[in-house]
Amino acid sequence: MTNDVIAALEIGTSMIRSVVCEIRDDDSISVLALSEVKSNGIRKGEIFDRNEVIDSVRDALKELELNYRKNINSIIISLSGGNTECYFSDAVSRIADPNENIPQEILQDDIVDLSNIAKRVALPSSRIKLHSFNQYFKVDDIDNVVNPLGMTCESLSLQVLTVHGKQSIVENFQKLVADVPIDYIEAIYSGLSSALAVTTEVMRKTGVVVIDIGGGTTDYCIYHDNILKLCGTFTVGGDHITNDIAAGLQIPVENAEEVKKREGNALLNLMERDRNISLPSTNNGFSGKIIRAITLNTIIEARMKEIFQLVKNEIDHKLPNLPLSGGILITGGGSYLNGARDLSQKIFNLPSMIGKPRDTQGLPSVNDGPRFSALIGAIRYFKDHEKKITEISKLKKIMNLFWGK
Amino acid sequence: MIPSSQKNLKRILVLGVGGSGCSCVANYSKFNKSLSYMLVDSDEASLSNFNSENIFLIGKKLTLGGSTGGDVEIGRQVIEKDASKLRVILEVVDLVIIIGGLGGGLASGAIPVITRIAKECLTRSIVLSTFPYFFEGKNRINIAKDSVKRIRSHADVVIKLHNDKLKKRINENRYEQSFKESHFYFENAINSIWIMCNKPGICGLDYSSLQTIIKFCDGFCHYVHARCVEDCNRSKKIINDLKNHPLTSKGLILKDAPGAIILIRGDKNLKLLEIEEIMNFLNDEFIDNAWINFGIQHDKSIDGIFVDVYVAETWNEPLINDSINIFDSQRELSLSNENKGVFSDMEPTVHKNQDLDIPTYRRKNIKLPK
Repeated sequence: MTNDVIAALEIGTSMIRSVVCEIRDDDSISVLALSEVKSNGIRKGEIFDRNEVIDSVRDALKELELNYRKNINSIIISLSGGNTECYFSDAVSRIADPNENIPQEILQDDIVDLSNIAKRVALPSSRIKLHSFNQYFKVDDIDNVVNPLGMTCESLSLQVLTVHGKQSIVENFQKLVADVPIDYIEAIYSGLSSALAVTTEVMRKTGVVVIDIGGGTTDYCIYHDNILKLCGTFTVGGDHITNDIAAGLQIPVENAEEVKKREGNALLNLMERDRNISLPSTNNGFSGKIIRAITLNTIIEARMKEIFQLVKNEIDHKLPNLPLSGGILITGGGSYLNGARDLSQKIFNLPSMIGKPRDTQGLPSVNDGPRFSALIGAIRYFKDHEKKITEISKLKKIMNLFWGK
Repeated sequence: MIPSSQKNLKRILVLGVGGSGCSCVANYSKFNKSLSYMLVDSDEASLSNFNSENIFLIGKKLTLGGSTGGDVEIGRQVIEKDASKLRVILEVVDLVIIIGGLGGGLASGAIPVITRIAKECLTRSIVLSTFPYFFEGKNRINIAKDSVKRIRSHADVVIKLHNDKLKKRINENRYEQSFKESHFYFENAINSIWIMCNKPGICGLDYSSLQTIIKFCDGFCHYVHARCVEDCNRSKKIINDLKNHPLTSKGLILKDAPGAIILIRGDKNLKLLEIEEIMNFLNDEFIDNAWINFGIQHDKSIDGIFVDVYVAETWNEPLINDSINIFDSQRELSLSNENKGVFSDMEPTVHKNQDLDIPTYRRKNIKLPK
């Protein structure tokens, strides 16, 4: 039998990544092809030069098709775009018979109706709804009911979490993908998709925080009781660390990026007081410099601490006292920074790990996992929510043959 | 512990640590009875020589009353064992002056711990430390260097005294005298700090001005002492002495210094002209915008002129305390975008009145090690 084959694309601030995956019968994902090209024209998750982005996306897809050796016609996009926030809304439905006021059983239709009502959220005109997730039901006086099907009650209420993003960013990305041109099936918020890729159901039940540190943005998701409790985005990421280094050490941005990857550490090590790092001269006009490791790490630690503190403050503010025994999972390109995991352990006082996509085969190495977690998660999300085969229609196949595509 | 006559004065405790520190403090305590002293050592035999009341024997269980045998780790452990006793003592003091000869076991291991405890008790600490002679071996010098690094992270001021620098001055002396020479410098330093804090002078130098140099001095400080007991040409002799002083590296330290405290003490014959000459010389030596605070003391107990100079090696920029800002909720973002690097021509990322595009270390005033 044939398995579902899905392609996914992530347009990030520093890299454009895409994968073609096959979903196996045992729910594991097998990566058939992947591509990774440098991203141009995007800063802090926003497009500033459209033509450059289109060129980069075309390059990425070309490489992907080359690797896959087949044409790709439709794709899922995973986007962050900054300014993603979430909003809680409530809906109440009266289940009891209106005339006699006798409690009645909750049927599937009641739940569907109620969640449809709750999902109708009035957002400001500049915002666009990305996803909505059911939170707990309330059956009369019983709080925190996960599945009320079959219970009897007078009234049923439901809280819904709506993830919404900046309309201009999301629409521009969709338009851009359409102009590449390629069919996009669905847009998925990248913070959510990386969380789906790296967590297990047990983790999501016990409570887990997933922090996806990208080039321009940092996404975070908090799960508890297998329910998405909170998510959001800060427009701060690895590029900010690079920029801080470039400003603090007065070196070009390219060299700052290189030294960050090579020598950077998020934890300040006082034993390194005397260690110097020499930066050789490069052909971009940089004449070389000797810097102190402690200076570099002071700059990185300050920024990383702030990123984690931003997430921690959000959690403390919106979800106080939530048990998070699943710990912290750091994923995305920022997780490659040395000491990032230890620093998060220090700040959150929770066990921290590097989040790698689970049940996935076919990535070049295990260490490549964190970079592709948003894409693997997008495929997992799509599989869970749509259950549709993304085969292109027969008519289109004929048309493609006709156009020689 | 603290004599009752000192109640209104600043409470200063002089702490001698290890063999060298103890003998220096014990010697000084004979001349000045109005300060509180304490001798800290693990060696029972050497402490019994001093015949002093304020003896603090540490690590009795660990070393069984013996010395640390040059082991820095044991030096650290013995003081950690008695840390609670020390904490009680340091809590009631404003300023602690710690004296020790680095390179051995106890002083190198214990002084970093003592300064840490002092910091936890909110007590200011000044460490006067001697460095071993070069002939004592690289190992001892490395121990001293390593220890000074650890001291620096807690102590407010560290005054280093290289025994080797004093060697040239006292070439012909017997070895006992050369060790006494470094003790003599420290005794002068303690004396001048005590006078500065607790005796009113003509021009204002007090505990607060010491606080200023403690606050701004980033770690190391140099102490220079010059005196002249003759009758004529006193100021010129002092200037000459300061110029060629081995501890100023022939005046080089003065030239780079960003800040200094100068204390001029003299008998009743001290003339304004002499002060002018000394100050003119010193002002010429320092850079133009150096922070200089000076004071004059009339001291009946001395003959001639004594000049004590505390020179800061590096200077902290005045720290801006964010917590004092009462307009926190209304803080304005700066209009300039010079600090933002590649993000300068973009819409700022504002989160809780902070522009996250500006480097974190700049916003939070984190000082980068140079």
